[in-house]
Amino acid sequence: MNFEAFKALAAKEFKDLVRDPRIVVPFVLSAIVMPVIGLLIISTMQVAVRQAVETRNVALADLDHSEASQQMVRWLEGKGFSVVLLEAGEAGEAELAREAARRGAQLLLVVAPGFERALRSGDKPKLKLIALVKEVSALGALGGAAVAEVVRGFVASKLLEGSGLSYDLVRDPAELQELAYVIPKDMLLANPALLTGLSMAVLLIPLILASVALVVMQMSATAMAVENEERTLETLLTLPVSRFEMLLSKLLGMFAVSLIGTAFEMVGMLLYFYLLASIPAALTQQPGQAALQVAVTPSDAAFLAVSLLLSLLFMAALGLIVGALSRDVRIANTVAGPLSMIVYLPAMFIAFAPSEALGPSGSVLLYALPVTQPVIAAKDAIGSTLPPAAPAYLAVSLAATLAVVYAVSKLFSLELLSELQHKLSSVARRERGGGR
Amino acid sequence: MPVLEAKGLVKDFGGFRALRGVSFEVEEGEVFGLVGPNGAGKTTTFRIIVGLLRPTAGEVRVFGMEPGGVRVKRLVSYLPEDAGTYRNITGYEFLSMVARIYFGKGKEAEEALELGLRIAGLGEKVHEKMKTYSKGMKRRIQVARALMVKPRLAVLDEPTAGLDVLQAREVRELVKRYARELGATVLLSSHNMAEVEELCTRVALIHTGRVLEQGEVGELITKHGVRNLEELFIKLIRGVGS
Repeated sequence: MNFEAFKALAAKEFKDLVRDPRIVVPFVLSAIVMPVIGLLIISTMQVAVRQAVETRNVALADLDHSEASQQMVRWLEGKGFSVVLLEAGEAGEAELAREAARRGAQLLLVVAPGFERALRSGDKPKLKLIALVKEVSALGALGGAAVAEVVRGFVASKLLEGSGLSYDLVRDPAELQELAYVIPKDMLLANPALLTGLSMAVLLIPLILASVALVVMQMSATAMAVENEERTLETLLTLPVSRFEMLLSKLLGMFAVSLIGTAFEMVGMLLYFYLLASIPAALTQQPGQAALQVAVTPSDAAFLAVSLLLSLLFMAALGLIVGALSRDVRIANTVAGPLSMIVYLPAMFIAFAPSEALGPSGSVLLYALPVTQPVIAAKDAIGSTLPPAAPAYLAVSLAATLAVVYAVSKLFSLELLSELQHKLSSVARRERGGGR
Repeated sequence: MPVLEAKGLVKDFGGFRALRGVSFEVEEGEVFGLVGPNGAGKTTTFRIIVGLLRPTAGEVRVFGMEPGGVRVKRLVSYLPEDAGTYRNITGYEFLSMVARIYFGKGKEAEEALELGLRIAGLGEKVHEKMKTYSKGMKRRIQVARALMVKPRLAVLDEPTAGLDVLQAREVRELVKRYARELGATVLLSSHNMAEVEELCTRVALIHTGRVLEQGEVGELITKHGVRNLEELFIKLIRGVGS
């Protein structure tokens, strides 16, 4: 092997790609877009929380006119709410709501007749809490929860009077500690939030790996199509290096660039999840801690790393085929789009379906394919265990990847490419011509 | 032994026959011109000679070898008619890469790079990305790339295509000087008959995949009783058409 030529070609590939805005801009965007989405979600949540906190004006229509209803007004005021009393009369709820809104209330509490009698007889009293919605939005109705809780507290304390029991005791009557034991990992989780964190990771990490693989395929397809578009392939193929060396150097250069892209995307994703993990803190206004803790052993992590690298190499080779058969970048991107479904659909299935749904043969197949191996392995490594045959699957994935690289090197001839491009164009023309 | 022997080359693309038995030989040290109208089969012939395409029938020997192998590719430089350049690397980086591919890292590579820079003659512009180059500058870089490695056979497909008069003149001078100074063999194609007459010692006139005539330029002009290669070209093409 001519190593100097190999290095020179790989360096050319790296420089040409890493300086290309068509390649670099999506990388940078992928690092920016996800955190921006996270920030948008956070800010929306914070606005909703602020609205909930600031919901202090409650209008109250007392249809019972009892001592108990008066006590509830004082109870609400004691909890910091500003209560506006409405003259109920014969007015309907819509009229009352209109009046309440006019007087600046955010909620209307309607105390039904028989409120006090129900409390005395130990029945459930009837109340209506009407949210006065200024604008219909995703998180617009959060404010009612605080008032409802205060009203429930009042009613419960009244019902419990004389029983010697407190409302807090009844609401949470046992020192019940919730734990989870993850059987395949032999792991006892003391905090249920950790299980939620693991569940999130099982769902999201396979999807992240799939999207990384797609970025690599898209990039290599673009890079190869650029050779066709810019008419540089012909010159490249007449340089004194073998087609296999040429292809490997190309793959290596592209791979190095795609790793940078992957790093950008990972940074974007991590920032996104970090921001999402801080939402509970934003809601409670207390310092929060991300619940996402992943219990992956070092050997599983090593397997995942190797599997992911092989998968990315496989995807890069697949992208090369797409790019080589495309006369320009536009065609390459058009073809790569639908092709991405071969990664996304299995990834979605793996992420959302329980392991039993895959069945033993399905699981073997997903482990054997370089495209799906890191996806299913990530899910198992986080939420379960890798199968005993994992190293063998790695060998299968390696063999498949090498086979594709070899096949691509055979494809790397102007003669065959021209022929295939010509055939593909003819098919496309026939399709456009409605089968003429 | 001739540097290049093409015998009965036939090339089919699906149902279309691009070459119909093209035969010619190129001797060491000569500048040989393959002349013909658009679609005559010049580029297809060149692509077969440099190993990019395989003939449907017939054979080619370059320095006695079948084209396409790494060994023969080291001896032959090919300048495609519409060769593009990499957008995001500089002319210097491109020529440097070519020098490293052919000669590794030694003195020979440095000399090749120096020669390439001299042929390209782009001054400081050579350190700018090639996407900023004009068409003429891109062509100069490609000509430099093809000649800097001192190939024993340079195959130049329309080396002055798309260039203005001044740029074409410069590239022509480069080819002439290269052939004279290095004693290399050049096989070129061109639509410009004056250019072919100026550069080539022998020519082959090709039309619809067939060689209509070949020989020394002066002898062909005398033989057909015409004033120049252009008249000969028109006479032969019309003769086929009528």
